[in-house]
Amino acid sequence: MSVLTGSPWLVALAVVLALAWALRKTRGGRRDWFFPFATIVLVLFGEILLARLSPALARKQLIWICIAFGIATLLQPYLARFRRIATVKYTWIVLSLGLVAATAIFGERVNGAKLWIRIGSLHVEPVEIIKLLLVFFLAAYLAEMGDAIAKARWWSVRANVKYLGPLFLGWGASIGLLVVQRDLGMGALLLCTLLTTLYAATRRSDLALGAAAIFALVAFWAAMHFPYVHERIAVWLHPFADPYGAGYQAAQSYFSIAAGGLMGTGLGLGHPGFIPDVSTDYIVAAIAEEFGWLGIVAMLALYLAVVRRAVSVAREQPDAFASLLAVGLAATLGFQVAIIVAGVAGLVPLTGITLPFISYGGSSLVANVLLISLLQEIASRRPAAERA
Amino acid sequence: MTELQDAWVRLDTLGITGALALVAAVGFIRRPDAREPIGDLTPISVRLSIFEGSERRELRVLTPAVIGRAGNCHVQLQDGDVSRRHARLEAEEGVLYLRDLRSANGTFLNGEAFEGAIELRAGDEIDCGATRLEIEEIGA
Repeated sequence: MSVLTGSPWLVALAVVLALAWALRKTRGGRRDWFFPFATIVLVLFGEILLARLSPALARKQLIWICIAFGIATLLQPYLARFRRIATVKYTWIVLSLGLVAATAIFGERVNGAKLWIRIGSLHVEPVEIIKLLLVFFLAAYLAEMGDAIAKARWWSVRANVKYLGPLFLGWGASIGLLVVQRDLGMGALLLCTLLTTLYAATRRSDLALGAAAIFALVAFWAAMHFPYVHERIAVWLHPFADPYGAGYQAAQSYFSIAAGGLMGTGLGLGHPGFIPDVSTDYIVAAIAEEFGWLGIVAMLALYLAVVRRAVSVAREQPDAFASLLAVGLAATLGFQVAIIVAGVAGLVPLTGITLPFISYGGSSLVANVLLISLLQEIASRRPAAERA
Repeated sequence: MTELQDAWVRLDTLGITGALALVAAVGFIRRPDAREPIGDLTPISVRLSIFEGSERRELRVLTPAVIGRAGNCHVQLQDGDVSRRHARLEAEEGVLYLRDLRSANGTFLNGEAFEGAIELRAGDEIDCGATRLEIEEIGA
């Protein structure tokens, strides 16, 4: 199985850009090599899978790999000064609401959801960038207000409204708009990130539980009122009720996972092509079929290693902002993997989000490479600031 | 495809799985504490004047030295507005730095707040709570 599905020049360019990104110099300071190393391994794994599933998509993804590493390398000097993010916190929420609105107005409808904006011949999914912007806002806001929220008594309406109001308004609006646009996966991901970061900043479990309960009520209401959500849940509960219609995709993915067994069929020897969206939402089923349970466990271990390391980076930060930013980014990455893997495995209703670095999808790759770049910058800051 | 080729493909697949697992294992190795400064950490001796209330005392410490209210601090202060571990004097490549340890009321250098760590020079005034520390001499 060759990764060389694109032109050799494009492959060479991707390798050069990936190395330039991984080896770029940070000012002074110690580097954390694991973040770029793990990212490149995951991207390479994804490209091998795509080359096997759909050579045409693999060629397109190769272009996105070049774009992602190129952008991350160019933005690196700005990412290195990530503490400035905190100084303009409301900009991020305004920007992300603007992007959601722009998607709602100018977006193109694909698979019933309006999530893509077309720029020339490129399809961009703004929500992938929004997930980063919302983490910026969340970390900046909670770094400032975290102590006040932590001290507020849970029954004190005034204190809670005052400190949590802006947070929930901004996030509620973003998540609400995503749900209206039928992007349930991203809505769930943003909610998980919000709860994790909120808990990390305040240690108030009543808030996390309360927000989760409100979300459960909203989800229940949505399931009752939106036929689209209702169908997703019906497929989740009874995938074999309509195996040639609504349940086709889910049923095929279960057959794939079952066919894989412990060791998998071997790369290229299975039949994951029966699953319609196998390159994006269902790539986990393809991995389960050809790499087996062992392959899935190894892949999940790698994601876990990245997330765990990001959390340990968060614990080392001297200031609340950097610490919460690392927690938010770790939660975003970790929950994205958890939501899609649990969805494909049938533990929760499937919601269409990508498996970071592995699924086909350019915006997702760019956003996740930027996420890792930022984590690495947080991890490898020179401890002493220069005197002004 | 023959049986033998299939077996090779399965072996390759297992190899990729093994590589993923190996990288994951590398990631689980404990990362070095990024708080620990890099490079030459040869301690620097610092002579401080401490103004606590109406009292003034002099102290000589070696880096790294923690300033705070806790009993095990190198520079122990009695000020209620000072955090238990408030700030730290650190040395790196022969330069003295002051790092705020996420103290509740903040640390100020020459009346100005700062983030993370900042370089110190002789004559600098550090404010922790209501207590002022003056850097009299560095590296004596």
